[in-house]
Amino acid sequence: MKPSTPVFIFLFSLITCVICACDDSGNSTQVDRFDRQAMLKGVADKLIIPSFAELHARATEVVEQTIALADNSTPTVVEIERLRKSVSSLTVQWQKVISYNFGPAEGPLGTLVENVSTFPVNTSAIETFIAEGDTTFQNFRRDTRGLSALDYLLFNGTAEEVTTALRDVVGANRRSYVKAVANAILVEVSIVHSAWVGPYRQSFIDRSGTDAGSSLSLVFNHFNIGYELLKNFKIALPLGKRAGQSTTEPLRVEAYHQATSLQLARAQFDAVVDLWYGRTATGDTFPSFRAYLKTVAYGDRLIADTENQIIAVTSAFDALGTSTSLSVLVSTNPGAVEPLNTQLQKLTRFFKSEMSSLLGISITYSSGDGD
Amino acid sequence: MVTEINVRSTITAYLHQDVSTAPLALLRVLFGCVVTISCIRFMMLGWIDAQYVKPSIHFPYQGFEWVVSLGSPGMYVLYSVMTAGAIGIMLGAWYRASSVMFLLCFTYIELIDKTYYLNHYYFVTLIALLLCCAPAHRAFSVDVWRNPELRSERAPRWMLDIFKLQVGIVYFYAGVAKITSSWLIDAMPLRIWLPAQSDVAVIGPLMTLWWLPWVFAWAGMVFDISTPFLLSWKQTRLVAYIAVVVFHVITSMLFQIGVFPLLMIVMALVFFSDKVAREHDLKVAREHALAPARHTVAPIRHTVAPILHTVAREHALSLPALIFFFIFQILLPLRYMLYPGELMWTEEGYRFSWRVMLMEKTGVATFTVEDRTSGRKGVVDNALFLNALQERQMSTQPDMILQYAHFLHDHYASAGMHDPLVTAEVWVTLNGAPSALLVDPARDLSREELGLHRNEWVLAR
Repeated sequence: MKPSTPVFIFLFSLITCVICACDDSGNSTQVDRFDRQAMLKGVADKLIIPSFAELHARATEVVEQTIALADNSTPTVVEIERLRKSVSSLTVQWQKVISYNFGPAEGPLGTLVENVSTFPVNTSAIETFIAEGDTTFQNFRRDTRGLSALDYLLFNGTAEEVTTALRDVVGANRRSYVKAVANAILVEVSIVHSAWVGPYRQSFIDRSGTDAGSSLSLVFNHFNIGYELLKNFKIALPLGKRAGQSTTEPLRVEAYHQATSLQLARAQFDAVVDLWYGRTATGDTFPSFRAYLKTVAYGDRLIADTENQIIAVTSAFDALGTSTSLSVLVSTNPGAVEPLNTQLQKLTRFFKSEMSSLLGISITYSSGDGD
Repeated sequence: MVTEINVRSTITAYLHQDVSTAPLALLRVLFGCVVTISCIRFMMLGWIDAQYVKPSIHFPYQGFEWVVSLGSPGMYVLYSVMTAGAIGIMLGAWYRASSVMFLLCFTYIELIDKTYYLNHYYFVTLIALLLCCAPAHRAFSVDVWRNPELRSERAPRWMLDIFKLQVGIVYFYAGVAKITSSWLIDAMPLRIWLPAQSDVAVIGPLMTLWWLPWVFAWAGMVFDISTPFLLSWKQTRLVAYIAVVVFHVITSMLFQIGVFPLLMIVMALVFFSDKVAREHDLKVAREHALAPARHTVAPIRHTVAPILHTVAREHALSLPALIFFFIFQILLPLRYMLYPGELMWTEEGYRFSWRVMLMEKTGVATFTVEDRTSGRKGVVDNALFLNALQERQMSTQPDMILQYAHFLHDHYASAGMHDPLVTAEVWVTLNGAPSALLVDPARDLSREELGLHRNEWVLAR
C-alpha cells in the first residue's frame, strides 16, 4: 500500500461522515452566528441599567419621604399611605434586579440581594434597635433591615395603626429607624447603579466569552441563582417543602405584611422569563438566551420544551389568583400551591443543565480544571 | 523450542540494553518543573480552601474512606510538603525521599474527593510512581553534586521505555475511546464546545466553521491513536511531536484544562531519548578521546556497559512489579466491558480509562428525604452541603449520587428524622440530548450499597 492510500481512505471517510451527519440532522447551515456581545449589550442597556435606574428612582422617592417623616412628629395617614405605596412599588421593582446580583452587586459586606431582601424579618431585634435608638447597622443582622424591615415597620397593621406608632416622641426612634433602613437600601442600590452607568458596563460587554468568569457565564449563573431563589425560598420554603421542615411556614414569605408574596414571586418569574426571551416590559426586544439557542445544535428542541414549561408555570400562577395571599394559601390550602412548586421544579432542568450544556457555558465559577 | 529460546534471548538482550541516563534526568527535571508549577498554581488560585477546606463533605473513593481532608492548616501543610517534593524531583535533591513524598501527598490529596478527579492527575500519579523506581537522579542532579559516586552515565533501556509505554497507553486509549458514533458521526460534544469558543484570541473566528467539529473529531481520534506509534518511529517522530505541541496548544487555548497540555508536551519528549542518548554517547566518546564519529559509539557502549550494569541490577527486582503494573494499566480501561449499559451514561468503569474531554454531561439532582415513621418529607438544598463543583459532578455520576444519598440519610437521621428514606430525581442531559432520569426516582437510595457491582437503580437512557 502506498503511503498516500491510508491518507486517501481517511479523507474519504471524513468527507463521507460529514456529509452523512449533515443530511441526518438537516441543519447543515447551523453555525454559531450568535453575537454574544450584542446579547450582553442588550442585557446591560435594555434590562440591567434601566431596571437599576428605576429601582434607584423608587428608592430615592422612598428616602425623600422617610426624611420628611423623620422630621415630622405628626405624620398623617395619607402621608403614611403614600409612603406605603412607594415602598410597595419599590418592592415590585426589586424583583427585576434579583438576577443581576453580580459584579458591583457583590460588595465586601455581602451581596445586594443579601443586604436588601433577606427575609423573614427579625421583628424582636428591630424593636430592640428602635428602643435603643440604634440606627448604625454596625452588625450582620441583615434580617433587621432591607425591604423586609420596611414591610414590617410600615405594613404591620392598618395605615392608622402604623401612623399612630410613628407619631410623637414615642415614635421618634421608629421614624428614624424607617429613615435609616430606607437610606441603607438607597446606598446599596446607588453603588450598583453608579457602577453600571460607569465603567462596569463596558467591561461587562467586552467579556463576551463562555468561560468561567465571562459575562455570559455570570448572567447565566445568576439567572439560575435568581430562579432557584424564587423556587426554593419564595414558594417551597413557606410550603414546607424543604428538608428538615415539619410543616408549612406561612410567616416565611416575602413581604408578609403586605400580603403580596405571590405577586412578587410572579413579578420575579416574569423578569426571569423576560431575560430568557430578551424583551423588556415595553415590548422592546434584543437577542438573549432564546435567540442564542436558535443558533446551536438541538436548540430548537430545548426552546420548545422551555416555552411549554414556562406556559405551565404561568398557568400554575394564574390558577392561584391574587385574591388570597401565599401565607393564607399555605396555611389553609397548601395543596393549591403544590402545582406551582411542581411546575417550577420541572423548569429547572431546562434553564439550568440543558441550556448550559447546549450553549457550552461554564456553570461553575473558577474552582477547578477539566480534562 | 528454538523460538522459545529466541524469544527468551531477545528479552534478555533487551533487558541488558543500556541507554544514557540523560533523557531520564531530563524527564525528571521537566516533570518536576510542571508539577511544581501545578502545585503553586493550585495554591495561588485558592483551590485548597475551595476544594478541600470549605466543603463540609467529600466523596472518597471506595475503600479509601479513611482518606480525609486535613482541613486548615493541615491541607496547606500537605500541599507545602508536596510542593517541596516536586521541587526535590525537579532538582534531583534527596530524590528518593522527594519522589516518594510527592507521590504519597499527591495520591492522598487525589483520594480525598472524586469530585476533582482528572485524567491528568491520575497520569501524574502514575508517572510519579514510575519515577520513584527509576534512577532519574543519577545525572544533572543535586544528589550527584553532593555525592559524585552516585553519577551514572547509563541506565537500563527498559527504565526509559516504561515512560514511553505509559504515555503511549494514555494516547492510545484516549483515541480508542473516541471511536463512537456520537464523537465521529454527530461530532458531539465538539459541536457544542467549539462554537462556544468563538471569542478565543486568534483561532476563535475559525471555531464557527460548520465543518470544524467533524474535522476536530476525526483528527483528534486519529491523532490520539497514532501518536504513540508515530512518536516511536524515528522517521515520523519530529512531525508527530510537532503535532503533539500544536494539538495541546490548541486545546489549552479552547478549554480550561490546567497544566495537562504542558504535561503531555513535556512527557512526549521521552520518545526522543534515542537521539538524546546517542548524542550523549558521542559526548562521552569525545571526553574519552576514543573517537568522535558516530559509528564508533558501539564499542564504547560495550566497554562501559559492564561497569554501569549495576544500575540495572539494582532495579531488577522491580521488573515483575512493573510487568504487573502495565498489565493492570492495559486492562483497567477495559473494565467497562463487564458492565451492561451505556458507559457514558452509567459511568460504570469510566474513571481511570483515559476518556478525555469526551462528553458534555450536566444534570439537576433533587433529593427528597422522608421520615420513615411520620412520612413527612422535604427537598434538600444541595448548596447547604456541596460546593458548585461537587454538586455539578455529583449530579451526573451515579456512585456520587449514592454517596450523597447516604450522607443525607445520616445527616437527617442525626437531625431527628427517623431512618430517613432518601430518593432522588436526577435529570441528566448527555451531549445535547433531552434530559432523562439517571436513577430510579422511587428507589430508596439509603438502602442501596456502594460497590463494584452493577447498580440496578441506575436507569437506562
